[in-house]
Amino acid sequence: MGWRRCRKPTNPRQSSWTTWWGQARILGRGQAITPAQEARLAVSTSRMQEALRAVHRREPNWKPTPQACETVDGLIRANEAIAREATLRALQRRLTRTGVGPYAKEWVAAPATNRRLNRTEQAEVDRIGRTYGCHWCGIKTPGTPRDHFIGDHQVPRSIGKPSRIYPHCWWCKISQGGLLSKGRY
Amino acid sequence: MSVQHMSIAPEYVSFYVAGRRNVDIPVHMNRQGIFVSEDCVNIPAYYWSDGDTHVTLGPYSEIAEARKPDSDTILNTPNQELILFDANEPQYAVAHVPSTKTRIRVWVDHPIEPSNVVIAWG
Ligand SMILES: [Zn+2]
Repeated sequence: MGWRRCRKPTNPRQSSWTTWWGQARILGRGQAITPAQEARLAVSTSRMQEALRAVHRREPNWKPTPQACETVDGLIRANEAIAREATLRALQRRLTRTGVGPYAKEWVAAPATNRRLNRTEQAEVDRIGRTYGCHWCGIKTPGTPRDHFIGDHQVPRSIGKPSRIYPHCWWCKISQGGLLSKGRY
Repeated sequence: MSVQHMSIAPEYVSFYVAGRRNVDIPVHMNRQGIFVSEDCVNIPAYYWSDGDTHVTLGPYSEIAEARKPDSDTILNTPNQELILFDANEPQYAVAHVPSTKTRIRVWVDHPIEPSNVVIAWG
């Protein structure tokens, strides 16, 4: 019996958090952890490790931005941030910068005109996002103030006539815009 | 130099201020808001499907903002110009500035999803 030890990849020589029957120890301090938090922590850790493995297959020395966290929720957010960063890094290496992401499953038909989404279409984008995650990074929380996933035209409107709209999280949306812009303007 | 006003709906929910073309756009995966580098300011915008982002761009002397800016930075402007653009639109506006380094102050009415953005240079 002992601590279940999980290493944070930003500092592989030190374990910065451990959990043990309703307790989490983060940066040396014991904290209560609920079963729900423990489940979210496990999911976020596994997603982070999976994303890091994908990057390290191509870039063994790549390191994510170091994250500081002092609470269980902070640790979950840190795991999610590292997963997003690593996923994007892997995708930047592997995919065309504007393509459909690996978590893409269902989509909403893009309106024929350049109009905004109506309420039904946005609700469907949100449902798909909450079910399968952001089509690039798989995160199921969009990170937007009103909790809407952001519709991502595929193909991008700058490249051709889009036929599908997939859910994007805020970070992937912003990052993809930056990548796309760098190649064009 | 006059103040420019525009309403935009950026597909990638952000737009950029830079002093030249082909800059790296600063992004972060663990925080949200305005991101800055020496070459570019990345400003979040309102979700394109929900409405426009109203942008005001002008010299600081003509911008009437009393509160502390949400971003205050020095940008390289080697061509003595400022370009407002996004991933789809190469140019929303251009402003001519007197120097090759320009102070940029930005005010937003929401830190992640603003519908009003004021950008002052100088
Ligand atoms: Zn994402």
